[in-house]
Amino acid sequence: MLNLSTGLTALQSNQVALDVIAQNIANANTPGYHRQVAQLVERAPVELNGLFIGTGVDVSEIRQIRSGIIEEALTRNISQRADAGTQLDAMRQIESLLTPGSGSIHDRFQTFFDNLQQLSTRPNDSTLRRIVLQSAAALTSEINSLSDGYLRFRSQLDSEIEQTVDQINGYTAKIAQLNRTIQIASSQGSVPNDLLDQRDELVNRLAELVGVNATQEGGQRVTINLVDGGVLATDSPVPLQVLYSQSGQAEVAIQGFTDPITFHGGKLAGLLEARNQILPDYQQRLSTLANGLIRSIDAVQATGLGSGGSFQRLDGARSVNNVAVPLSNSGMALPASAGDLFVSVTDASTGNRTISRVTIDPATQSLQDVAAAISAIDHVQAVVNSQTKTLTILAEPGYAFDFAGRLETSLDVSSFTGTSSPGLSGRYSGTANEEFQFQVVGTGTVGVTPGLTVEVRNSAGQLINSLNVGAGYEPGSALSVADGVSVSFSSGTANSGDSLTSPMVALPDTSGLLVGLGLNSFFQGTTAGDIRVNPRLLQDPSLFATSRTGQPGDVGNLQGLLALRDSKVLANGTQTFEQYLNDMTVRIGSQVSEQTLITENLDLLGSRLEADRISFSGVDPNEEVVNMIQYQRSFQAAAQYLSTVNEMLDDLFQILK
Amino acid sequence: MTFRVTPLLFARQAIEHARRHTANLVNLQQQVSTGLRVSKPSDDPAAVRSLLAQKIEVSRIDTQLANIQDARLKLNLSVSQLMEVNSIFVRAQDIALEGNQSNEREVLAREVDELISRLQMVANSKHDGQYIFAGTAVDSAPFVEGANGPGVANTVQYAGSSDRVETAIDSGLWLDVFFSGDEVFQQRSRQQTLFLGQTGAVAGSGTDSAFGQGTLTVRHTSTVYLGVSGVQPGTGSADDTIIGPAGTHVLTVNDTSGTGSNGTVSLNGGAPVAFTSADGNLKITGPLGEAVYVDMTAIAPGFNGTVDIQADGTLSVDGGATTSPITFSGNQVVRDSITGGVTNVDSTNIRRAGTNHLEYTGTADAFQALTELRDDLRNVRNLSESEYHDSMARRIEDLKRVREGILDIVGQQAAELETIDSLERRAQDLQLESQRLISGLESADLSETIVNLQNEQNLLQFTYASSVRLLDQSLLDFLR
Repeated sequence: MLNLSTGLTALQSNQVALDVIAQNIANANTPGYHRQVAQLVERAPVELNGLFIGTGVDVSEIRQIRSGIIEEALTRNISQRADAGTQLDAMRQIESLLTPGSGSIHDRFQTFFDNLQQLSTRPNDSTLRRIVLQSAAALTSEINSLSDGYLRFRSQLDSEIEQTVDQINGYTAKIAQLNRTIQIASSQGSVPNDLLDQRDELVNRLAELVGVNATQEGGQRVTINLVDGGVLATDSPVPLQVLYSQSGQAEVAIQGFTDPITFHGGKLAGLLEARNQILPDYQQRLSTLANGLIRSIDAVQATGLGSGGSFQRLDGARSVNNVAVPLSNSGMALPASAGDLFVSVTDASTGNRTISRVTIDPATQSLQDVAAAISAIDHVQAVVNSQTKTLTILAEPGYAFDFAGRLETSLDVSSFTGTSSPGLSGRYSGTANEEFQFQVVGTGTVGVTPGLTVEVRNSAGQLINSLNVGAGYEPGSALSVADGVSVSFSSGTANSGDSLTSPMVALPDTSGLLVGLGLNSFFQGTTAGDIRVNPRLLQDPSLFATSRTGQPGDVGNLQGLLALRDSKVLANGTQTFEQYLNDMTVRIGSQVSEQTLITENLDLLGSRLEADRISFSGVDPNEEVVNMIQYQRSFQAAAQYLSTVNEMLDDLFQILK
Repeated sequence: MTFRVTPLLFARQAIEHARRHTANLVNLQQQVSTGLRVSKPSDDPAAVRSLLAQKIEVSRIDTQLANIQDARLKLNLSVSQLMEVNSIFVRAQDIALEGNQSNEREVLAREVDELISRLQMVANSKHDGQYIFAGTAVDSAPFVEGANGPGVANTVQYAGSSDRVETAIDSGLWLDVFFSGDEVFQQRSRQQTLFLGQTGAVAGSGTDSAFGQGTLTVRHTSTVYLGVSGVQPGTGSADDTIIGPAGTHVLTVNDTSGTGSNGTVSLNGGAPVAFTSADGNLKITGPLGEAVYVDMTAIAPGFNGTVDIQADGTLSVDGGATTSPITFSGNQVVRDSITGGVTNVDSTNIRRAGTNHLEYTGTADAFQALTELRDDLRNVRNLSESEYHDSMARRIEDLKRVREGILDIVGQQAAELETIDSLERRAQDLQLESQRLISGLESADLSETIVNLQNEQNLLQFTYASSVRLLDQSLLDFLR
């Protein structure tokens, strides 16, 4: 009977082999399917009369054709691709917000400066002034919308991170479930290939979300580790959660814990990178740009004059937290630094102008102290509004004040004993604040006495000019001193030692106090999100400070504004506004194009690995058909054998009959 | 191991290749249809860097060119107005020459009046609502009728600003387009002040600060007769015309009666005048016409000899509104209370009361040069014929000086116009260059792009064709 059973095993084994082929052909197009092979083995022979005779064939196992190396590389690649792809998507979003074109922030900057330049042809034309202010408003609203766009994108990323973490938790739970089922099946001795395939597919999908290593342990259990080593799933899952740190970062930690996990690869890593690194970088740059714009333009506006000339009253547009603590601790959004503020006070009836210097030290002075220091100037009063925590400066009736510097028209002649009266004219063109001292050498009559001179010294006490005001000098005529400033002495006497000093103001506010408190500011707000053109200016364009003298055709302040186009105020003094913006644009462009290359390379690598996997583990129907024919023939032969054995047995039975 | 190829692999790769070719096709198609090679920063970051910079450059140059046009218009306008001023002064010079010979002086004076009002119109001319010669005070008329004081010839004053109006060609490049009115019409080069008249006052050593023309009024205030002669100032002594420190004027008394009842008296060696002790206000005239009124009633009997006279007086350059006593010094400063200008007078040799016409040589502005010409034609100052001719010569000098000053400004503005022309050419060149760069960086090379497009299309077709052919192959076709 041995012989019959040998044939039977052949029939059975070939049947199984054919079943496996059927399964292979059926799954030829199933993603992640590993070709299976029925492993045929010889059955143990029996000894008969000293001869070992085979007892047929057995299917020892149905083996999956899989290469661990390829599978692992593929899993890793999936993670990397998801990470790179997610970052690329984020970068593309940022790029699309920054794409130059008509109406873009680039365009707005350009238009604003071009309009300023155009205004110089007719600085007192209200239409041109309005055009400039409107282009500034368009610029600020573009900055606002860019800032809003970034914020929207950030909350989009936040919700995507939360969704991804939810998905990860779902996958790890399923994997843990499968681990348990597979272990039970394995312990019963069978190999649940389809479950293994399912788990592989889940691991790959998980890898798409987060970089993991899957390690097979004894039995059929797979442990899912993060690339760093933390366990995500074994027989039970380790769920994750999203946290938002104090510094505004999104972090992912194991539920019940707060230590943030660092992820390598996977969509989650890409999202976190975009949320915590890439996007904040551009938000930071935009805010630097807005901040620089506010600081520089406000500083020029604050120290200039509109068509209306000096002010009777100015209300601060920016506040502090606390009016009684030193300014440096009072939460000024645009902090002031130690420096000088020069306040010009003009007597409206005589036109006489005096300049007073107020020393500002934010480390020691509170807003109240500053108000007191300004109030110490004659005819001017500074008041702190305790409700709004802002500063208001007022002039007495009949007086006006400004911060435009200029030369004093009313000089302090308390140390001048002669009858000649000195006067200053011109425009100080120096770059630093100075104090000129004029001292008479010799005694006599201006325009008459030979050798009567006036020596001029700067703050450092250096002699910068020595002027003849004696014989040959036309009394009252302007004598050029230095840096565009001229002095005149009217007819009269001058005595040796007579002297007077007058400040030469190049930078009326070296402390940045006016900007910090928003006095006569061009903008409102302090950040990219809330920067706006001061509505006061939009209502009354004549307040836009184009001049430093108040004359309608003067462009002294416009020069300062236009010079901002070429002044390198950003990136540690290496870039202009437009360069900084262009740099930002080119930066995101390069990042996108680099990231695209990385992604393409990973994709290429991925499809090669995929090809390798298909090549190794995929089903070739032709191959299967050949095998099928082979097994079919074996089956036929085995059947033939059985029939032969049968005939042989029949023959034997014939003998018995 | 040989590489196993399965239909799934085949299909995947076919799909992948087809996808890649399609993506390239879309990209190329976009380039062809927009004509742009770069539409977002990542298309070519390096090109975008220079593209953005060049685009800013182009728009800046656009504004530059517009501002250049504007500056040119303003400068041309200013030059043509100043050429009108030049023609006014050419005519004025002609009039002055004619006035030197002709007797139709009133007709000429009236023509000068016309010229003055023409000059005023030009000086207060506007462009687009802005005064051209007001400096930065473009909103108000720069030349206004000024305060007219006695002896003040300055009829028009400058009320504008001394700052020129600038226009930005570029952020760092500013051009002066409107010059200030004072530097155009009030150019001065002061020389020694000229004193016309017989008082003996001459220019002092100091430098004057009054402009144009003026009048020095030398008034007599008191006369003192020194010594024991008994001569006293007459009741009409206020009308004495002599001035001088003690001893510069001398009275010679000859008491012919010996009792003081009658005799002769003479001034500075002039013709003796008979007197009696009853003469309380006797006028004595000196050789040069100087006169004193004396009271001879208290004369010392028998006085024969000379009496030193000390005669004091005052100086005034504002028609007597303010006076300062004569100190008979080398330099006396006399101030005009109306204009504030001072005149330095050497009063050492002032010997007579009277007036001096002052000419602050080289200080007449455009308006003063014309009004002084007109006034001289009308001979307001009552000059003698020879003084008139001398004065005309000086008027011509003034007119010439003013005209040269104006032409100098025209020259400066012409030079600026030339600068503008070259700036414009340079700006246009730069713009062209920038635009060329932009199109090179940004525009798609159409022929190349279309060839590439065709190429991709062919590749896509090959992919399809070969895939279909190969996927169709199966062992099953050969079984049975």
